[in-house]
Amino acid sequence: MGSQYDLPPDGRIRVLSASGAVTVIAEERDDVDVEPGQRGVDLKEGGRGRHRHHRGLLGHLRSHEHGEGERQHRPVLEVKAKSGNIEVRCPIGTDVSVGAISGSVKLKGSFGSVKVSAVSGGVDIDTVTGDLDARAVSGSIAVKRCAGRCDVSSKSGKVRVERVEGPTHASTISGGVEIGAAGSDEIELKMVSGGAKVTVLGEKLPRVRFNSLSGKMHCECKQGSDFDLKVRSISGSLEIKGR
Amino acid sequence: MSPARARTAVDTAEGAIVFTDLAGFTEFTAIQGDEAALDLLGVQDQVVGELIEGRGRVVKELGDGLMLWFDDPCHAIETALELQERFDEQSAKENLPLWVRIGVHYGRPAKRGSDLVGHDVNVAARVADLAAPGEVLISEAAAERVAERMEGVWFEEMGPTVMKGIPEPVGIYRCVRAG
Repeated sequence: MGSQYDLPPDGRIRVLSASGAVTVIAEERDDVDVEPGQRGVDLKEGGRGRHRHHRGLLGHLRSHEHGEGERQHRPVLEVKAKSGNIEVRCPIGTDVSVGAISGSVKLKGSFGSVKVSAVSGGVDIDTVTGDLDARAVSGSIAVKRCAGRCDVSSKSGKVRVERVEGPTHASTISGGVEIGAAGSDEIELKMVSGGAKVTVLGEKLPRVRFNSLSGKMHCECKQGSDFDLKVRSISGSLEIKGR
Repeated sequence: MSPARARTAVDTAEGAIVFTDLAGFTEFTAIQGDEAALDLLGVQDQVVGELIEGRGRVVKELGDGLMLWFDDPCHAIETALELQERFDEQSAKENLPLWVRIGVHYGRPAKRGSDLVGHDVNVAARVADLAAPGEVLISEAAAERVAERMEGVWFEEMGPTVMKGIPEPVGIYRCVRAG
């Protein structure tokens, strides 16, 4: 049992970790449970711009409002850990952002919108019902389902989204890309040397446009005009499966 | 002069540091050869040269990437977005993989001749490292200085990012044209 905090209405969660693993679990609950796990975990208060503070049990949580314009005016519950593993349990559908360097990032359950950045750790996400932006430098990214806009990129890691239902942009330099296409929005993939595998999951038929310097395309599904599948690579090949 | 006094004498500049990285240049060179690689860099140089004139300067070339400097962060971001648009046009027109990742940070680096060094330079490089090909990412420090002054540009919050070698999390925003 960790420490519990109330999530402000329309609040989102932000977890920052330098070296430990981050696990966020969306489950049937109303509050947020933070398990520091071991010494060295620091729940920190701070931030820039105009903000008001929301004090939790330890008095270290932050409720943050950004400035004017296009920025978001939403409270943020921020959990910061320099080292050590951290586990956060939150209500189903919570919007979450995670920043990590070397530890793995796991999001279990169903979330609202999700933003994840990682340097070398792998990223593993179950379900995103809103928009997803996940990026890694050398770690791989694996997502089970994204219902909204899906932006995923890794420099050298592999990117895999089992089911995308909204507009999707995925890119890698040397890693491969695997996408399960279940929607009717455009899917755009950009790889340098990694290959792409696209599985068409639904009844919709893709209009495929493949542009590569040396990569080959192998298509085992019917093509149509229900949605655009644009793939560009330098040497990576494209494989499409479906009906 | 004591070391402490020597430190206070460091000459600094305040403005925007931009890093660009041409994704896939090594693979392109391996497939297309050195001559084609030089042509690709030539196209990049030409586009950068046209857009940076009167706004900023090229600090140095870093293999297939560039480090740029702008006194005004609005110029930095506008140039970065225009660069991506021009690269995209050139990619389509000449079938060249001008896939460039761009990162922008605002700070006060130390001058070293015509070069710039220091923490803020390192942050800018890390921001670029997180960008996908075709993307412009900027730090919160840069966003704070331009948000009120740039019309027609959206700043999508990516959230604070923990970066290797940088002690504090850095807020990251993706810049896109509005509409």
